[in-house]
Amino acid sequence: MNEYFILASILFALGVTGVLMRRNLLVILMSVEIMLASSNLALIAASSHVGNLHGHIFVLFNIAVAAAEAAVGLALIVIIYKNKKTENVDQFTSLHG
Amino acid sequence: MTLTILLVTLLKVLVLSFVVINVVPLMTWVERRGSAFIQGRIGPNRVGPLGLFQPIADGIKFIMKEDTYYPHVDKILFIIAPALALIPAILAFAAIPFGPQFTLWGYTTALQIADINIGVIYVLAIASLSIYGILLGGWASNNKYSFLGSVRSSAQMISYEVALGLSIVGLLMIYETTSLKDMVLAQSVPLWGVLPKWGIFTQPVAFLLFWICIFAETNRLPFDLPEGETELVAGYHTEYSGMKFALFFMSEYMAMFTGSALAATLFLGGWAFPPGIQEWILNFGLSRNLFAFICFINFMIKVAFFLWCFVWVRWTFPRFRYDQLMKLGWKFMIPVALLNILATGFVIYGA
Amino acid sequence: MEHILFYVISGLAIISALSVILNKNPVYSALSLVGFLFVQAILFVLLKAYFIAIVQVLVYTGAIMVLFVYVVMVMKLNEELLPRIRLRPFSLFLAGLFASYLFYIFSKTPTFSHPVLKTGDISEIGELLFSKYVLPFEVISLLLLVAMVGAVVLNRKSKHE
Repeated sequence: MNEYFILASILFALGVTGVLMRRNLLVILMSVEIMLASSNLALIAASSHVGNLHGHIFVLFNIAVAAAEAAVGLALIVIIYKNKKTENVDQFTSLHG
Repeated sequence: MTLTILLVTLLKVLVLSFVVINVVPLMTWVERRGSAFIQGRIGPNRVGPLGLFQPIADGIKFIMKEDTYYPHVDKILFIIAPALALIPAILAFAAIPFGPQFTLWGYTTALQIADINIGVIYVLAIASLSIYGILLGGWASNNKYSFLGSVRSSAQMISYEVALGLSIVGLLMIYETTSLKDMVLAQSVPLWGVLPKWGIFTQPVAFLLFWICIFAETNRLPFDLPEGETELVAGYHTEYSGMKFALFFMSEYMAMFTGSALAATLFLGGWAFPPGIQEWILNFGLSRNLFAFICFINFMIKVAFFLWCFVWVRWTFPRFRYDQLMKLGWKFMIPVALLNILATGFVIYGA
Repeated sequence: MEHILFYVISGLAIISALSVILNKNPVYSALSLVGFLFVQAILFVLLKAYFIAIVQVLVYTGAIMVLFVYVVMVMKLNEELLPRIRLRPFSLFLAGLFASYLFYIFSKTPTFSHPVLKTGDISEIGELLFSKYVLPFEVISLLLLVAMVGAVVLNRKSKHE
């Protein structure tokens, strides 16, 4: 087992911990970002493990998806913050703004 | 043998960083004398011949000044920010070729710290990190003016980075390389028999876009809204004093130097002479090291020309308004850059 | 040499990831995430994925994270009002479960005796991207366009306000 895979799984678990533990919406989004990045690491490691470049292409796509996710996610957070004046997810209890 | 390689590489790093860092005091002198020249004044001429020692006096002043902290600043980030502004500016030089190969103690190497095969993208990537210094400096100061300045600058730099990247794509298509060294070599062949195949002749539109974007990226006038004195006191470095302010100041001038060096490498043929002149110089039977030195001087002259353009433009044009700046970036520069790529593609496909 | 480098860098990565999830102030979290992604770029360099490393720095740390830091800074958060971080045991348990499951999967992957280490050369990646993966490439560009329009529409001031 490659040590890069171990590192990627540890980082992924840290991202999961962040999502479950933190109540701040921004930090949750950042933890998702960590999870995405650790999967990138696993993909690159697998790519060099097998010896082709398909993993590299996947990571390129992943980064583009992360960009789209960050743009929309941050836009949503800004709106929620404007309406609720808080970013603690425990206080979002009603469906209508 | 490995020891010589290590020594020569270290020497290269030392010498080139020395050159890069010493451009800063020289440029402050050029800026002050240049502004005086343009405005019909005399400028600093008391310290040393022609006022040449003025930068040293300025440096001593910066070091001796009291380092002030205000109670409302975020202390950790306040200290880190100037360093974060300066580090990317220095790192970007690692990929820029300063000259051809030379031989030292039996080891032949190019006058370039690292020949990265994706050098162009490397320089852009590292330069994009310099936003953080400004953004953090403004936020950590915990001051409305500083924060407004840094918010403006980050929006401006991100917008113009897009146009900057797109303007280079045309060049990559023509020279078919992303290595800065190969770029220089590809430009040292003749074009239509007379002109050198420099980027400025093959991609004039890209050059114009690139040059405007560099002004926006370095936060220089006419795009110096992050520190517009009339509105924001001094922008993101309002709260800084002493050596910390000097670091911000240095990072601006180094970013200017990076931009000029990149422009000279991509559009004016880098260290290489135009095709005819190269052979003429080689006819003198110079040694390889001497030739490398002459090429280095040639490169520095090209860079100096661009640096002078920075000063020239600064004291000639008024400042843009912020919405005009954004409109120019998104509604003019990016479409023109995309059209330029399309046109380049058609020309390459047709040829 | 490369092994020592790997352990140092991976230690840095874990520390910065921890600092993302354990910092009370989101500004510091965002900056730690910048550091984390930069460190990850170095790991990519160790894996000889040079182009991906540069793209990571250019796109992730240079553009996406600037957006993050920007939003975090604009939402002026009062430091005293920030809630304390509670270590929720159940979340730790779930994360541990995830990690052990991933370990299990990775331990099952067959090991190739002599992996051919390919350097992530830009021309090879380009060739692959524009031949085999050309459709996903176009779809991604559409996705980015949709995300851009979505972000603009979401934050547009409506005329009724």
